[in-house]
Amino acid sequence: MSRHVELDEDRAVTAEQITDSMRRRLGDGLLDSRPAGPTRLYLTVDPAKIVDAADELFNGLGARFVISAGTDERENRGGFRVSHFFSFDDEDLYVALHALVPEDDPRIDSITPIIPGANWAEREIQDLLGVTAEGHPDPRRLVLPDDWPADVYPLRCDFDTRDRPASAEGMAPPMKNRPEGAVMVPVGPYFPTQHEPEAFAVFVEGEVVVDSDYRGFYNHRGIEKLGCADLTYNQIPFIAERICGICGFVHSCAYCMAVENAAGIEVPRRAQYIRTIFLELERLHSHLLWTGVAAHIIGFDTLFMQTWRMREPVMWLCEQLTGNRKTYGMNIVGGVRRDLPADAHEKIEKVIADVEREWSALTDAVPGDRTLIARLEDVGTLTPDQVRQTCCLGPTARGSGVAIDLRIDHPYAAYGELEMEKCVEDGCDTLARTLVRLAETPVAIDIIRQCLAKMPDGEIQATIDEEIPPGLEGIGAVEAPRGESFHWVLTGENNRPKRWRVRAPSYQNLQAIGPMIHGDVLADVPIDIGSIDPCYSCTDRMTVIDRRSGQMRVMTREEILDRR
Amino acid sequence: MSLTDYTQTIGFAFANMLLVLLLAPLLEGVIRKLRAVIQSRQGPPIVQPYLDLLKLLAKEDLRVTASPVITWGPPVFLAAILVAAGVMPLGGETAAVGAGDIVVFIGLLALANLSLAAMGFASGSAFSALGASREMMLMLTTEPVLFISLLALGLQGETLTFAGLLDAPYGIATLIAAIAYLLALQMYVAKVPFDITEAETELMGGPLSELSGPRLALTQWGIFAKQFIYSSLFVQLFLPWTLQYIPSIAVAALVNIAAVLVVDVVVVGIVMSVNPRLRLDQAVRYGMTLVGVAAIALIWAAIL
Repeated sequence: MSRHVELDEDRAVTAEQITDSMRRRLGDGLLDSRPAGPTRLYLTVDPAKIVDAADELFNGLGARFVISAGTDERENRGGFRVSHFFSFDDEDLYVALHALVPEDDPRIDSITPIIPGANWAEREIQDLLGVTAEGHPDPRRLVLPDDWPADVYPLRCDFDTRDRPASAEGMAPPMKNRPEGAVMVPVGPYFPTQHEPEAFAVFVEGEVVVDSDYRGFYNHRGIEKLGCADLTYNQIPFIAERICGICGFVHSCAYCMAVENAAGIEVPRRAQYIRTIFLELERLHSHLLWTGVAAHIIGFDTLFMQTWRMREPVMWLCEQLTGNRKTYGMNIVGGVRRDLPADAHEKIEKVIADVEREWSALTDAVPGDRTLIARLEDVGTLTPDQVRQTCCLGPTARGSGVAIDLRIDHPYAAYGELEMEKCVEDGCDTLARTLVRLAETPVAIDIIRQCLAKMPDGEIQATIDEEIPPGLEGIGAVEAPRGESFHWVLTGENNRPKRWRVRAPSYQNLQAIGPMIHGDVLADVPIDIGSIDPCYSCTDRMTVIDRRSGQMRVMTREEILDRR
Repeated sequence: MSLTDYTQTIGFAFANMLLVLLLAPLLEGVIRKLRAVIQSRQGPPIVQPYLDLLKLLAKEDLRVTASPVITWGPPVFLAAILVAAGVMPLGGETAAVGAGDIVVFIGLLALANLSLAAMGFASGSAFSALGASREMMLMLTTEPVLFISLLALGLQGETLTFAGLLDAPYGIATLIAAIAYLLALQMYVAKVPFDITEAETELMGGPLSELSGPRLALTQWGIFAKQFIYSSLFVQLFLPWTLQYIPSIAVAALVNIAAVLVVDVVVVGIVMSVNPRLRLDQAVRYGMTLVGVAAIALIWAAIL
């Protein structure tokens, strides 16, 4: 059944049209509609009408589902706020759908039956805030540890960041049952090609994958909780940058943009250009890293070693420019902390020229490498409809012909003043996703050159005189190397956000692994998973199967130690 | 055959085994060094495989299960390969007088492969078992290529002994068989793109993943030795010259070693550096094509 909606040219929507169409569909159910500039629209609806509202946006108007967020507003509004975010990528418009759920009956209808990509988002609210998603097709625990007490919700305001619930023994993640006749192969929590802990249970018949399940979030660090409770506006960028070990700059950038969006702070142009340069340097080293990792996964270690050798000067360059290889610490609300050094232009130009030369030799060789093509072609298939249903992003979407690229769709930083084209492939397979990343690397170099050529003079920070008032909301979204990195900030008292919501692109892309590996052979699973360039935040346990009964269980530390 | 002949044969067989045992890790070291150079790395010293084996041999002997397959698998694996080295010619004809026979040789290599697969099945890990079943699938395609290409030579010389094969005339059939053998060499030695059984990034080492210490050392030594004898066999039988014209066996053996190094470095080392790993089905399809090529050599030899 296809729910894919093709938008006609003349149906391009504006904020007013969305409000009109929501009013027609919901009647009195639409409680408030508040545009904030031309690119943001905040709607408040009756929680009983949330499914209708989401259906109208997703299926009626063709919006893309972004993420959900839950906020504890019992103190000031007497309930929990559940928010679903949508994007109209062709119109540069983000729409938020807010509903207030009463404190004494924390339940809301699930939108996952109509938007499969909301699966994790709703389970996360259920886990962390205790607002049940009624009618969710798969309401298993997602984020919290297996031994976390059932009635403790860490994102509620009365849960202190220093609270530590007692741990318990013998708890196991509620995994799917093994299909009849299949064998379970664990990919993770520790697996040579997954450089962070994660656990895929892959069910195979022979070597063919018939089903799979995922358990992650093992090393969930509660960063959002810290950001809403303990940290001030300008402390958060530094922890935001540590969300990802590769593309951290996108997170500090998106967070700052969200606060700037909420408070109406105008960032100086020079700061916008500096942000753009680092965003693209990050994309450059991230794609080089991915190419190496992907090559290693399929046993092509020569390509692995060569791309990482090419990548290293980019890291050194960033260290010279910011003081750090990776976690630059450049972003603050209102601009950047440091200007580029005087000789930055020459240094950057030299490094990117070297990468460009070697990279073009490499990309010229790929189409002729038949063994490489044989491993990548027609595996990990993800149709455009599956992309829409699971709300995939970045190269994962663009490899299936779904041309979402925030740098053009929702221009931010200096991208509105630069020339670039989206890199899109329609192969819908691992090869297509590879080709997208290969093509994007020279584009990143080109953008850096444009920034250097157009770099304006002037201030690098906006002057912020007054404290940011509470009750404002803002959205910041950045096209990370892996897709859209989305941040939502609701301002609060005491120079702190009331709620800071982060959605990294892998959050959506990981949900597409199931359909992607289905029907492939086991040998393709590592490269299929690798093809979305996953970022996990996960584990310290292990899964074993009892071969006689086929039962899966989790071993405790004691069992592991006693085993021999 | 006189008693002296037997003594000499046994002596040569032991010399062969010792030679293979001692030199196989060197071959691996040279290949690793070459790979490092291609990958812009400094790479480990050439003697590193020896050091690895020594270190593993000195470690505590831990076994995943008490199964006799894990206990006896590694020594049987290494022994089968070494005996195969004993019956094959390494320095021209005389090393194999009377004893060398391609049926025995292929049987010993099959025994080695089977014991590796058995270790995989016995170790109780899903990854080892998958590696073992892959090993079996690959064996079903590599063994026929080996057997048919050797048989084509046998038909030309009307013999199945190595001594006879060395004397066989070099014809078109030999050339075709040589091509089949050379194209299959990477499969025989199970290196990228055919390291499908071990597939570190998929199966975490396959049948090897549950072995440790001395048992892992013996198995790895066997894998190095296998690489040496497959390359050696190519030099001995399929090149259009023969080492038996070299009067001194010692010199012939040295020439053989040098040629093995060249074949391995040029073919195995470079192929493994410039390719990704194939999937099992792709490898089997490739292997079946080579069975076809070898069959052409056999038919050619039978008709002419």
